[in-house]
Amino acid sequence: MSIPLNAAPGAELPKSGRLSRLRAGLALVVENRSALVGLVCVSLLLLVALFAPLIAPYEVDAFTDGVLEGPSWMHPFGIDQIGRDVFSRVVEGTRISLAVGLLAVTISLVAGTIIGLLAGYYGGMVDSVLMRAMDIVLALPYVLMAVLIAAILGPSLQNGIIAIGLVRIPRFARVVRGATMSVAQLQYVEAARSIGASDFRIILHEILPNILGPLIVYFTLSLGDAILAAAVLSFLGLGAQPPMPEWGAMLNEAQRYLTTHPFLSVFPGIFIFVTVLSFNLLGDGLRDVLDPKSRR
Amino acid sequence: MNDMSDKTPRAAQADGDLAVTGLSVSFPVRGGGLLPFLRGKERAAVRAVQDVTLAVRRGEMVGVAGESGSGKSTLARAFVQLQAPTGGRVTLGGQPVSSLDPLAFREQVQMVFQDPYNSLNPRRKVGTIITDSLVVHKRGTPAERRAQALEMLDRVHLTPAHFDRYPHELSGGQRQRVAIARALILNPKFLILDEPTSALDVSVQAKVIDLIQELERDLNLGSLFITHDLNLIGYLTDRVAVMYMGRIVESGAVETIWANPLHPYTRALMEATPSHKSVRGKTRALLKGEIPSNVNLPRGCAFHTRCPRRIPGICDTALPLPQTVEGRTVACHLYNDLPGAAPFAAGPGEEPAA
Repeated sequence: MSIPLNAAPGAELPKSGRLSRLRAGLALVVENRSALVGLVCVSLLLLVALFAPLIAPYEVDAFTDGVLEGPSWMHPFGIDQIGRDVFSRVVEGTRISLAVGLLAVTISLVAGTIIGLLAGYYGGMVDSVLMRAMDIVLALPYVLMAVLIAAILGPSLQNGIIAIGLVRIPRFARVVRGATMSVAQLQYVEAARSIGASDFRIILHEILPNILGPLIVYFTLSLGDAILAAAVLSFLGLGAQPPMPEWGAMLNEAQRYLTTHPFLSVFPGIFIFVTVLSFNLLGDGLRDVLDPKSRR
Repeated sequence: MNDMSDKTPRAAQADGDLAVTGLSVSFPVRGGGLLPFLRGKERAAVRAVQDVTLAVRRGEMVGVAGESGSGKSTLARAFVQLQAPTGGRVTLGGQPVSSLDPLAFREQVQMVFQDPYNSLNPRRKVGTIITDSLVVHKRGTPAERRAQALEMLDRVHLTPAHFDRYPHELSGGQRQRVAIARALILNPKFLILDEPTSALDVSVQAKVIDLIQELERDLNLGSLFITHDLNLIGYLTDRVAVMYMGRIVESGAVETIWANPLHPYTRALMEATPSHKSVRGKTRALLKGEIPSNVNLPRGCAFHTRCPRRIPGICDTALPLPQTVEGRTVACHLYNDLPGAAPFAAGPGEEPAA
């Protein structure tokens, strides 16, 4: 081996890698107080969803010996109009809401990312055609979309998920397109082309890994929105149908008793609020961490 | 002075040359609206490279010099097929590149980019970046590719420890070595270097230059070295082409041109270069004015707006044709047999040597 021109090239290299970067990122999240609150709440919700059957003291559809009772030690969130334990139902609802959010946003993520990558990478006519199509979808409110789908396929949670997922595709496409365009003009993309890499390879290996930051942020922020949208659809009767313990559907059932037994609405409402808020806090925090411009 | 003519680039292309012939690249200017388009007007375009003919032989380093905006980088990109020419053609070994298999072409012609902070994917390890060239060209097994990459790292004076590093863990000079390794692992015959040292610290530049020289010699590469640094060209290259506004104004053997630049632009560039020996002690005649717009090119010789020796009535109307003068090719009216033309080399009143 010839004598290296650099003095001991290996010596000054820091001992780091993916792990230390992850740790540094985590430290930044912890520093950011609202992001930390978001992270803790989201983790708690995930745990609740994961262990729902262990946490819930009663079966979701089991009748207890009371009807329309306020909170007590036995039933912390009270008993609903047909004698079911509200706490058990809210806990089970966490599972449903998180799953619904995840499924809906995954639909938007996958379709939106593919469309955004193609539009941003190829530009020109491909970009124009795809993005004008996205503009059309963007003009549709999700409730209208859900009504449409419900009219065709009948109202169900599954159709609600599809409606919410479809409507959010253009937003993902826009985020991905913008990020793709800014990455595509970087020299390493050109370098990949100069070694002969195919477009598919460039998109997969050079562009996609470098747009994950904004994508993760937008995914997290969208989860909150999608959960809220699912609750709205269920409340309107376009999503989950009773007796499914979905939070929005529970609110729908509870609205008749809003004046007489408000606790029936309060607890599912609080859970919707907290869930949406914590995903938004986490998303904002992640944006601060992942956006290099926000760093000192 | 004609004894230097054996060094001129007008010699016929040998087999295996990488060459561009009459190459032009222009970019349509966005905007302007639909109206001029409907009226059938010619759309405005940035003419980055115009009618450039240049060949690179194996074992030879050709320098391309010029200011920012002179079309150097576009020329480099056209050489490696990253930029489709709007006119003229690129040939490899006499064959038009468009008729070659893209991968077969890339196997033989590789490029090193200007900014090593920008030309390496931050999410991929050095080893992946280097072996990727082999993966794309379907060469070897993973183990073979790794061995080859390690060998390449050694060639560019990095250590095997760098294989598992991310680009952000490396210095600018180390990154540029990685970029060179990525280009050379395919074992190309030609290497296009687009200002490979301009983004580096001066102390690091020298080391990278040494490496490039060493590799060029060892691998018998033909290379095109794009830079604005005339000292570097004088030190490194065999031949030089000076570009102004997309055209080659003077080209030939470096020692010929450096000893006595004929084109007023080459002369001005050299006088603007601080440490060049030909101007030491002399007062510098710096060019006045900015480089004109690439969209609305000046009529006639593009340099006439800034030329200290322009001939009124000629330079602003007719395009000077390249001709052989004193062992190099120069495109300037001063060396035409035109009335009022007086070249630098000849004394006042004498006929220009054609």
